Amino acid sequence: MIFLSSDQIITILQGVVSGITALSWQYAVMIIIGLVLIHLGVRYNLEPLLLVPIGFGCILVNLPLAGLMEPHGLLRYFYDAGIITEVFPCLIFLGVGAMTDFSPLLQNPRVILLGGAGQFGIFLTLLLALAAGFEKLEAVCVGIIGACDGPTAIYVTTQFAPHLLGPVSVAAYSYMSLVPLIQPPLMRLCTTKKERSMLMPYTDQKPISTTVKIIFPLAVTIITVLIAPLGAPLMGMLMLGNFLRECGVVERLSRTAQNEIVNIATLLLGLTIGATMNGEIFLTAKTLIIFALGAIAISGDTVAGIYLAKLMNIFSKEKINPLIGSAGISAFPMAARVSHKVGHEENDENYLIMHAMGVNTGGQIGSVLAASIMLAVLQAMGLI
Amino acid sequence: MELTNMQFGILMLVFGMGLTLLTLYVLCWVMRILTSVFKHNKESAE
Repeated sequence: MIFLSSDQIITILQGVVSGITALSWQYAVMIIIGLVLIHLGVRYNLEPLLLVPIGFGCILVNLPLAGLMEPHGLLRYFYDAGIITEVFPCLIFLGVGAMTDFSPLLQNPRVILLGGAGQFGIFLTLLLALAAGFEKLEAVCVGIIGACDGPTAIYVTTQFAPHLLGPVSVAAYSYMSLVPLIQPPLMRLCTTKKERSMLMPYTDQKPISTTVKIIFPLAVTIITVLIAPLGAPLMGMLMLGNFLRECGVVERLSRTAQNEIVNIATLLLGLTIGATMNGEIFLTAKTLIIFALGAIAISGDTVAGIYLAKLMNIFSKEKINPLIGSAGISAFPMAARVSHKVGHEENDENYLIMHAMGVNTGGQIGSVLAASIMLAVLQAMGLI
Repeated sequence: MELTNMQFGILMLVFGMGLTLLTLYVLCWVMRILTSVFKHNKESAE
């Protein structure tokens, strides 16, 4: 060109390809991980509502020089507004509460204890994380993967170990989506054929009155927040959502919580969590350890639930199929479906689904409660 | 409170798991009381 020197042309070309030259191996690996997450969501339908935006966010943040997580970057605004403030996880809980029917739990209240056993993995993993060399508050955040509950994991990790937010939240969501693969072998390992074939009748279950359904979320909120006040945002939003559903006079609000609010929050939360997966921060030995501990956490939840169900059978006249114990985690309704499927495979007259749904909704309450109680204990110990 | 990592972990396990189960047991009784006090009325439901 006549009006540009060769040096100027080279400078322009360098500017055009600067993104490519700045692509390090860490960014390249993370872009591949993002593509894998999208593939799992789209091809295998594994938690697509979460894995697709997480995968896309992961790709976006690892494209060099795009600056989406730099100050004034688009994803940084979402991160600061929704994750740092903990608004997104709480909005998701509002929607989850509005979508949850606690009737199966109210028909068989004792199974809520299985929702407590399903939190054993949290504390087991916490111990293992401490043994693996994590700091105390870091170990708490790694342990919370065992809640099998993405929003709770994000809520706790944002407060106490924000540098682990990417690995912890991705591990929590990944293992939630892998429940159908992780749980069945453990369920078969921990039960006999006779136990798996055990029938649970529905004949003694009475319908629940509307008054009970309305009082229940209020009672849970008041009792649990009095015991563990730091869990108020999560439990409060979960139960508010359920109250909107059950009170019957705010149908529009209930529908909005179940649809628009939860959808927008899920999209932005997924995208922003993906954006925390910067290759230079994410690809460390700690991330691998966190993923390994996450697998132990989910396994611990499953085994503890099954064995508590067996223990309850020793002291109770009305026997329960131990398989429903594995549904005491927060992955709803996937864990309940897995319990039903394994029981049905063993005995085709076995319909555990509604019993397992009761345990699964108990697991939702249990996971938030366990996290809240952990925060209360940490506060009492002066660590937070 | 100065605790070693292991002491901390065991304390969290005992208090965390114990209080979680205890609170859920309380909620179990709350549900039992609610369902026995406010029984489902078929006629009013219709």
